[in-house]
Amino acid sequence: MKKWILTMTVMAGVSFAVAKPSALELTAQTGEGAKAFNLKGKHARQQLVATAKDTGKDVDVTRTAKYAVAPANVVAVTPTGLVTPLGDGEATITATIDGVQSEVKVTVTEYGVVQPINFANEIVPIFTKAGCNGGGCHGKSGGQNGFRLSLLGFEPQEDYEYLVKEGRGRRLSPASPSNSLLLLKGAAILPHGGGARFDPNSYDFDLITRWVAMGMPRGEETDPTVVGVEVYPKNRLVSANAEQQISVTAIYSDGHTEDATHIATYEANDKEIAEVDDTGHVKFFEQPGDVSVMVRYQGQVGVYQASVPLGAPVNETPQPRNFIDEMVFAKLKRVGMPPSAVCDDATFIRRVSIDIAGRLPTDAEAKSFLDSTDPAKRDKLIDALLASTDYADYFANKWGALLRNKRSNTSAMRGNYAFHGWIRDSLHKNVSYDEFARSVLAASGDMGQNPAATWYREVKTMQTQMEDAAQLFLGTRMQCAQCHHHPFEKWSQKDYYSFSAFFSTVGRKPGRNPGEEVIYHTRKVAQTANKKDGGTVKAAGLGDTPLDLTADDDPRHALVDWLSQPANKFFAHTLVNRYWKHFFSRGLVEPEDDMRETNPAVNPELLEGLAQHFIRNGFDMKDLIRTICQSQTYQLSSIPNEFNAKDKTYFSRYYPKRLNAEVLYDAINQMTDSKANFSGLPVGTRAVQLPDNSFNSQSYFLTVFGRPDSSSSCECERSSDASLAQSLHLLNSKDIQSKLSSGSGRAAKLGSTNDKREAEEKIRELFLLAFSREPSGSEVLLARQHLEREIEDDKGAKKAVPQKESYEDIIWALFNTKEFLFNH
Amino acid sequence: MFQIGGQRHVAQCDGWSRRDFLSVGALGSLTLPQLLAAEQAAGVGRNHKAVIMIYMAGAPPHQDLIDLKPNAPKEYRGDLNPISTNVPGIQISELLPNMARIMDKWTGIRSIVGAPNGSHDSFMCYSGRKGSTFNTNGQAPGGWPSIGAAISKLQGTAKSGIPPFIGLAPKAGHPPYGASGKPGFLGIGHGPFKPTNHSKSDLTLNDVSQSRFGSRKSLLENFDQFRRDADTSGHLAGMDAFTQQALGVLTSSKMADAMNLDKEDAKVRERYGKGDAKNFGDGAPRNNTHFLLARRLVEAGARCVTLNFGRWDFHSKIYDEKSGVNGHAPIFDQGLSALIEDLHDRGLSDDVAVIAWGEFGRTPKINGNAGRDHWPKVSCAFMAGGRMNHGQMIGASDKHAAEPADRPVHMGEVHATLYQHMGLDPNVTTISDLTGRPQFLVDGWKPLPELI
Repeated sequence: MKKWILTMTVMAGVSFAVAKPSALELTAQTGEGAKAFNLKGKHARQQLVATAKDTGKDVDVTRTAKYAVAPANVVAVTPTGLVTPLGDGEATITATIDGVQSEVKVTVTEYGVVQPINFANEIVPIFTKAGCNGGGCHGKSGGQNGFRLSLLGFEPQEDYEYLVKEGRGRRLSPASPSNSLLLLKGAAILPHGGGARFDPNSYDFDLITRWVAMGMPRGEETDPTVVGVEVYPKNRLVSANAEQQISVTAIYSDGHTEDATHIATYEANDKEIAEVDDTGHVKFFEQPGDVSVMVRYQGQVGVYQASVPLGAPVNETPQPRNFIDEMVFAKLKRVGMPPSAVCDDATFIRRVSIDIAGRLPTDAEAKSFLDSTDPAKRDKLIDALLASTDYADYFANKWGALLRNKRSNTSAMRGNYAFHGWIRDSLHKNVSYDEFARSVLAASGDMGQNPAATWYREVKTMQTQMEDAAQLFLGTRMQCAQCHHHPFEKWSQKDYYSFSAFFSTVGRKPGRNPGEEVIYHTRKVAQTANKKDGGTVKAAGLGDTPLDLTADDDPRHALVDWLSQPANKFFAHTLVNRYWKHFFSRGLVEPEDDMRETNPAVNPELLEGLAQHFIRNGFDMKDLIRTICQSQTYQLSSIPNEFNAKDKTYFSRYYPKRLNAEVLYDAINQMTDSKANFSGLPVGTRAVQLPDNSFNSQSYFLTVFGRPDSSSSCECERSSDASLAQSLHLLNSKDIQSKLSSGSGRAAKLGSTNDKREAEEKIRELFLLAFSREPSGSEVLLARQHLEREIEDDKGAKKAVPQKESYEDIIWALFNTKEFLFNH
Repeated sequence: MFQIGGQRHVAQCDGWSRRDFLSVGALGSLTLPQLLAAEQAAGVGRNHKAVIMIYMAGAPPHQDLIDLKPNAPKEYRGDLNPISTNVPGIQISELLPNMARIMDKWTGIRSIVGAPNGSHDSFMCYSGRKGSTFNTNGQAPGGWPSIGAAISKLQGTAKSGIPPFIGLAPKAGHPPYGASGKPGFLGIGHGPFKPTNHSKSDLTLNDVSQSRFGSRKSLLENFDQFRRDADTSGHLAGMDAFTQQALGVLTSSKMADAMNLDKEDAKVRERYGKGDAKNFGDGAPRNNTHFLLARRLVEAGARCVTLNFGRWDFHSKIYDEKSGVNGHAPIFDQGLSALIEDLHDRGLSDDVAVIAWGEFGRTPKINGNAGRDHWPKVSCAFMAGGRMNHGQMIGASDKHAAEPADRPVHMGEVHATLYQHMGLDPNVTTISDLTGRPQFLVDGWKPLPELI
């Protein structure tokens, strides 16, 4: 907390309040309706947003500006900027603040004409806004206490049936609309398990009452539907404790627009930074950071993003090496958070060796890197690591889990080895990512001839193939849309099934060996049934038009063609984000496989920049890694300065991460100079080289440190949670103790009289191995004291401790430090 | 009971929880140290709620334990006679005299349903959901977590040095008999700590003397100077906290004390009896010291302790004095009754809920080998403690104990009851699976109104 208090004082000097604005901008709707809009009928509404402008600063003044209307009898404007009709006519609304003015024009028509009410467009959104149709209430399958609504109102036709016809029509009373059970319960006038969801004096209560009084019209078939929402403003830099009015404009299928600010729903993703109320009014708190407000209306989504800057001066940044640095440092300047310094060589070689090659540097590698004066040594190291088979081993380990290379039974073994070998070779040869994806998704044949076909063994059904492919290669979680419209995305069941259709022709027959299969395209036209309406849908990319494929076309190739188009917004973005997370511990979008409009990237320009770079360079995975690792951003120290200790999203420093299970196991073997011995594999096979998950059960170490079982295409299957069992194992397991005390281990060698080196030399070797750095003077002293200490024997006589034992203790202590257990 | 903000992912009524919209990974990684710190600050644990689940491996014969049918033909009713209990009108098997003596302190359920099939899998007992110990097919992505894992995730550590979820089951020849409940999609960090199994040898110093370990510790403290403020994810603080706890365990502590039965009053140990620590065939041991260990562990701070008992799969010679129910039930009777009475004596009966059950019931009719076969249509359960209404039998089976005749109780309802006892509303609290989908703790089941 101390750090924050300090930064607060810095912040106090930076304010986005505009003392005397140079201009004011009053807006109504987005687009054409910004300066002139229509209100039709007496119940129409429009939210205004007033923005004071000064050089480089936009500040919301919606609630502090004064509003005047001329002529006066057309509309009324509340102090919060809400416009409601008073009578037909045209008028000008003028906002004034500190002597500057701005105006919008409004036209009111049909004031005296009762407007039709469309059930789907106007009534259902009230249930969504009030929370009636949420998954915890009436929206869950089966409803709540006998009353059911479609989840989040995505099926208005069904809602109409439930509401108007079910329960013998008792829920609505056209004879006495305001006594409808729906209203009495919803306003908690009658006892309601969900409490009061709306106020009897509210607009919504009145709207439902009017709708019931009109005889519960469904609306016309030809009534326009909402096809999009626009949020204004889209993003802002704001000062702590600021306020912001958001306005939401709904775009209809006939092209007309209407204000939806008061019927849309809002959710801030970080409530420590800001809160948003039902009217789209955002209130910021003291906490600096980024916040997004998700806006939903009728299945359409939009986002308002804001940054509350820390506001510290960013006078110096390291010299940018590439576009990554430019974009990251630009963001840091914008939010006022100075980055940490670039890390030293020891930190760098350890960090990059672990991140690219999944291993610690050897003591010799560390020493020669530290000694080298070559100014290009960091770049050269990156290249050397990428060229090494260790890179392929480590990333094959990552991809093997994601591609579900799981040993489900012994007959799977051949496929497991072949698939692992294929992944490793592809990475080593640096096959382009689109080709890699094509080989897997469009794999045909026997897994012996075509190992990539092994993917289809664990991923068995059309649904799981589609869901895995979407999550893995598109960063999109489609599972929700199988049974209902995706709650946070625009995907409907139709999208779900038409995307599934890419896998509708996958055939399988027994392969040459027992338990193996041959995957093939069954020569059908790619299509499938939409479970929602029973209709047939053709294969279509997400958000794209259906494809006309013949029976001869393997749709899976069409899928990869669609994925790898340069204009595709999912494919490259997902991979660069996944790899960004690999190196930085945190994705630009988090979780890395849940990319959607309502879960925006912390640095959208950077995500786009990385994706475009990746596409331009032909989906070259090694180039991507090289670009990331060469950046100064990647090479920043993890040690915070006085401003960025709390940073979790701006990449102002490197975020330490625990070595994963395999790397840690190998690192301990390296420290103790012992070899892993997995049954069925050559002695010395490292844990990062294991071909599949079946070895987890042999190694309690790998299990307890969370090596994944390849049963999910989500990286989240790898557990990084700490536990008591882990700590006990590391501190005290027989397995590790036997590595330490082995007669052929490092402690034995260092403690042996055959090793004539000075103790200090030996201590240096251990520190170079563990941390890739030289020990400090006090560390050498500590270690020497331990080596030279005497203990009392049974008779009370002093005696020296066997050197081997003392080295065991020192090695044990080194690999239990956080400096060892973490990549930092 | 203490709740940590951000830990219970209570879905808003509109179906969004903050976690849904937020990055799941980042939050998940933050929770542990926050919990540890917050709980330590709040001094949680003095009166924490807990669950002890006893898995009767192999599926016990309900009609020979608490649902006898003395009026049924011999080939149905078997060899055993009912005896009266201290609650008028309730009779149970003559093999359970101690349980009969304390009938007012527990509840029998005679109409358990929901067993997915007749396969020997502890999965349903531990998780309340259909599924398999061996694979996650048909389960939520990542697999359903067991109740212990869900409690660990949602409530964390109650007392430093004692893991929230402890499994005492030793491995068994048939692996599901030796399971303790899986972590599923919650990840290995929320799996059972196994002081009698995997972690057993890690609990006491291996080939290193206490004094040498002490000097190792001080070396470690001196070398471990990495700046803690470099990490905001909580992983580092989490590891630090557990390293401290582990060092405590290894240099004598609550955990070691809790596991050390020598610290227990001899009279109490006698009351529980020893049973037999050896696994019974490919099943579980009939180890009554595990009942006592379970009590000691929840007393020390565990929130959920599971254990396995016996091998109730009596396809033949069901009334054999050694291998049959006649050999199992008396040991079980002693252990379970001792546990229930002990919890009462120590004032823990409100805080600790106890459940004992198996994966399904057994065939109404005795087969040609004098045994009973698999019968998923109805089975039984024993429940005690947890500040519930006891001294009753819930539900009833038909005249041959073949199907529920009254008030079928789904295994999910029992889980809902246990979660409710823990202070977790099973139909409101959600945990996210590997696709980020929020999942309720049970499949829509409500706590048993008869008990709560």
